[in-house]
Amino acid sequence: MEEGKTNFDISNLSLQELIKVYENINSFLSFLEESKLDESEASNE
Amino acid sequence: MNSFLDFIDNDIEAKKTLLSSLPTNNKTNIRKYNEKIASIYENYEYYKESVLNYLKAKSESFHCKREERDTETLMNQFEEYKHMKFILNPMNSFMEKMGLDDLLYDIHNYSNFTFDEINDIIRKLIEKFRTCGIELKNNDFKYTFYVHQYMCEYLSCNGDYGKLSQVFEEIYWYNPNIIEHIELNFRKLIKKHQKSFEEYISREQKTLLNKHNFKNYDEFIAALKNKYEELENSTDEQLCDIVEKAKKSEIEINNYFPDSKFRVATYAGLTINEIDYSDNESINKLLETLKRLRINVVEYGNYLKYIPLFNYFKEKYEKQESPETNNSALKNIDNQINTKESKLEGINSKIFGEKGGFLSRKPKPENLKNLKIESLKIAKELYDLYYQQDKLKFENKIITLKNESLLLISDVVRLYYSYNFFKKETFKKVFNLETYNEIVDMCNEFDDFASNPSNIIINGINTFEETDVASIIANKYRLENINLELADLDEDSLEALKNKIDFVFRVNKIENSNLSVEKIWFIVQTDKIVEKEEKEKEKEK
Repeated sequence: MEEGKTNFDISNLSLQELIKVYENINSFLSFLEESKLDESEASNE
Repeated sequence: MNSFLDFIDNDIEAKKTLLSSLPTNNKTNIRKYNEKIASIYENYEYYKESVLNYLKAKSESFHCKREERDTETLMNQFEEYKHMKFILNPMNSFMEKMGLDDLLYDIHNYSNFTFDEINDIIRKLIEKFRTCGIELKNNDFKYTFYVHQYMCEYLSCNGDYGKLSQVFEEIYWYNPNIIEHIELNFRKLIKKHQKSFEEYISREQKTLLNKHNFKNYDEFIAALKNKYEELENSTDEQLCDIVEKAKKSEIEINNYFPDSKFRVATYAGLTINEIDYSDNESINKLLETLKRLRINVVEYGNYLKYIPLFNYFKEKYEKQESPETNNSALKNIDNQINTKESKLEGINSKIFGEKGGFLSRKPKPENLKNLKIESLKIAKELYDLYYQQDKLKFENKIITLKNESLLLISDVVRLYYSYNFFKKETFKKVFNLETYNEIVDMCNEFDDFASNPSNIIINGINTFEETDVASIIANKYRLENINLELADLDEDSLEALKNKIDFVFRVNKIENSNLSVEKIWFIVQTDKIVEKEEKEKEKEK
């Protein structure tokens, strides 16, 4: 299933919030990287 | 949704919950799970890229323009003024102003140099004479037979010092002191041409004063001070320097936020009585005081660095001979030098067969040998006498200064600044310096300190009295409401004190600019993020 992209406006964020947004996104991307599972090791059932 | 930040926080939580609820018990479910992750990942990569681009654009919008300052021109002008001070220095003679004492120190300490370097020192000495219109020839170098032999070869080698090694080798084993005798020859020539050197320096002084329209030395010194202040202001830290330092983590920008513990503590400990930081007049007064304190702290740091020199001077010269005794000793040495040099000239004339009549004949080989030995013996005595003469002249200067008025530390500083030969000798001894380069480096550092027109503390310290300089400084600034403790002026604490002052100046600079601490913080964070991203992209390549 395709995930829909959200249009957003970040111009109203404070400078600290802007950095926070980036850090949260980046940290979530790392979480996603680490969450991937190895298909080949699983059973077919 | 309040903002994109809220959206992201909520969405991340929702996505994590969703992922944790997906089954992963078989290959098909894992594939679907991974596809979901990939789909979310793609969206978040897009978000990240968009946010990153925004961060960069925003950070660039805070671009800090470097203030155009013609520092290079000011630096060149100040260097020219420093050269003028060197030439106009009323304390020393043509020997020092021509740089002859520096070269004589080098040749006197010839063991520090290679053969080629020694020859180059000789070239520089000859060049000094040429500057004053004196072209030295073979006949000027007749201090001893061997000096003549070597210098005749030298003057015909046209700078190809390799050609001289053979003649040097031949001479050296007969006369290992040949370089000392070359030094003596130059000393005698300097004495002979003293008037020409003095006239040259006098012309130079007039030209320099006229070029810059100075009526006299005092007027020049006042201008030098102004030029130094101009230069100091032009090299003052700019806002973009602060940004760059923050980017390089040379300063911690978090400390600059108004509510940072560091900033609150620094400001709380700065003044004895609290001042109103919202009042411009109070802040300007504080900054003006801190500016002076910073200059004084730098000077005091230098003073502490050279305390061993001042102690040495005090010990050596506190109980000096009377001017009469010193003058009489100097006169005695002068006479001895003249007598011995006349005697040496007589022996040399015989060796060279210069006089007419009976004496024009070349001496017999055994007589020639004896004459050469005798000439070397006298030369050795002269070498010691010239050194004694220099020492007495230097001491004479000290005695004169002591007799004129109280001898202040600033006088001692000026004295060593003015006499390179003794500065190098003394520094080697006092600071246990081992190599020639160490001596030169330390002397250059000292000269920078000595020629700093903003020195003020050393003008009030009597060399021969115990003075608690730290208390003098602390008391002065405590009167101006600065909470300066003696411990702040410990040698190890001076850097921290300077940093504290710089901190206050930076805060003021930031708060009076179109940037803010927060904007600089943002620039720094973005810079780190961009750098990290670029490194990761490099790794992926």
